Amino acid sequence: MTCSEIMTSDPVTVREDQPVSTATALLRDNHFRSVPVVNADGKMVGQFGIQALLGLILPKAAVADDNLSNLRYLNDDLADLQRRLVEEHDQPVGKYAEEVGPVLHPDTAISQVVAHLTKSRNNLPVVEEATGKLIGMVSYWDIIGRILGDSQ
Amino acid sequence: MILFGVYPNQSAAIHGIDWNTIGLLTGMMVIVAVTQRTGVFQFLAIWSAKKVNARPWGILVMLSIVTAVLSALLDNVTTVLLIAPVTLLITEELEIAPYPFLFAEILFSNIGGTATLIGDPPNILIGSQVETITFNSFLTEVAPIVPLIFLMTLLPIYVMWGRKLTASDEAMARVMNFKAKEAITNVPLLKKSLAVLTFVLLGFMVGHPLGFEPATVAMVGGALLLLLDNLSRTPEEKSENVHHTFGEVEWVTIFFFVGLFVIVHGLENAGALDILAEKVVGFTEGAADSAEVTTRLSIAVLWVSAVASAIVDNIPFVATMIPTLKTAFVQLSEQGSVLDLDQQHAIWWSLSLGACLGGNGSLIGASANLIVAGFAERAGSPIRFLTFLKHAFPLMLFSVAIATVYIYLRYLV
Repeated sequence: MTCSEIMTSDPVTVREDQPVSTATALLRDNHFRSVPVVNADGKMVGQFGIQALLGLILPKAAVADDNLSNLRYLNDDLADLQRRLVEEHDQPVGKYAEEVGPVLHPDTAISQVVAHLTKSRNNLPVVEEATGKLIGMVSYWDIIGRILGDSQ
Repeated sequence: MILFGVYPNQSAAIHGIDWNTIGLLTGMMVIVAVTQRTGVFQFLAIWSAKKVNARPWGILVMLSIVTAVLSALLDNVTTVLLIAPVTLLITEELEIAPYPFLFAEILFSNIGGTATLIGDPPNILIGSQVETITFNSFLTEVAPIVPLIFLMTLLPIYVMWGRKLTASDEAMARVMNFKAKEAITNVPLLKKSLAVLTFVLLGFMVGHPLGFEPATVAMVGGALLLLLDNLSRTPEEKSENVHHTFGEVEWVTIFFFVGLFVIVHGLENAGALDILAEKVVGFTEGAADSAEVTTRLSIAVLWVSAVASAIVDNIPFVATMIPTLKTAFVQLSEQGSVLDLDQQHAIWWSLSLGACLGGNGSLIGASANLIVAGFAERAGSPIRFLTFLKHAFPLMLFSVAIATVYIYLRYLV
């Protein structure tokens, strides 16, 4: 069995030039951990996830450096966190797209997919090898659902 | 090098390693690794920003002073590693461009580091390898000019950016809302760290006459702080904590030095540095006396070191120059131009000032510069190579010109 047989086709995506607020709404409304970011041609450029979103409500220096793990002195309240997020609302989400871990292809073997999923906290993108276009996503539920379904 | 016959065997290669430098670097890195966990560096940065009521130019000056002083007492790479992130945090809250602040910190880390034996790797090398130079020599001979260079470098920074730095009242209020004391994460450890740091600095000052080299003092300090940090821990915690501390030591830098010493000693063995020394001696041809030799060499070493350090890493440059100059002194004395200790020292101070200040000439001139640039890039405020060069190179030349006047007036007239 290969990836193309278990993946969810036509996944929800966000274009790299769409604002952060759009991607944030997608994450919140669908309770996604991450959403794939694509360019105008549908080519995968990265992903925007919960970690990236949370990073936007902290000062950039705090996210970029491990030495700033103690942030108690910032004395922030909710309004400060809100202000930082609002400042980024209109920025293109492509600016904050993070590198995707393993990328799957339609012909990737299912065992290989499972091996990647055991090390990933997010759903994995499936892209066409030749064009880099995003054609589907695989979640752990896709696999588990099929296994339980097949065994029952 | 052993395969090519430069060294007869492995022992000969290892013999070239300057363990005093290695011990000093490692000991200080252990002390800093423990101390930084207390949050004292963040505290200092925030405290100084609040002291000037979060006014941008005031913050720039205060952070420059903090950077220069810490760079003199610790090493400048560690200093910028700890101060630059807080600087970016503050400028972000002030909603102003971080570049002038980071630029100033790069420059003043190298300027501050010039003041002491432990402040900058070139000085560590000179202090370790020139037997007659001690920690106190740097304090009495090089440090006095550093405050003037600091002020004269701050002036153009004010003209270029300082007078235009403004922030809204709301943004300044945000910085004033910071709680500096909250940056301190471990008060007992802070007390221990400061006590050990004081002990080590005093050890550097009084150790030499008693026969204690800087590496001994630094390693004893590092071991003592590790001991104090682990006294009340369980065996498992001790093991984990010591591993964590050693993980913070920059082993890549330590091994870089080890490799560098082996290569330079190999060049020395192969006679390559004799050729270089002959060129240095050739430069003094026709000099009337040893005073003129000293003048020519001091000025040449100062400027060549400065320009070279802006183009290549100043550490290998100085590591090569030290044996080269030592050989040149021997060659000069064989030719009848015997340089006395004061005259030799004038040349060593020129090397120190040239190499340390020269590191400010470009983004690749010193490790601290690259550390700040790398961090700024990760935080979304990249420092461009050419932009930095355009601003920093003239300021570097200016500081070296001040150093030239100092060397001339103090040692050459």
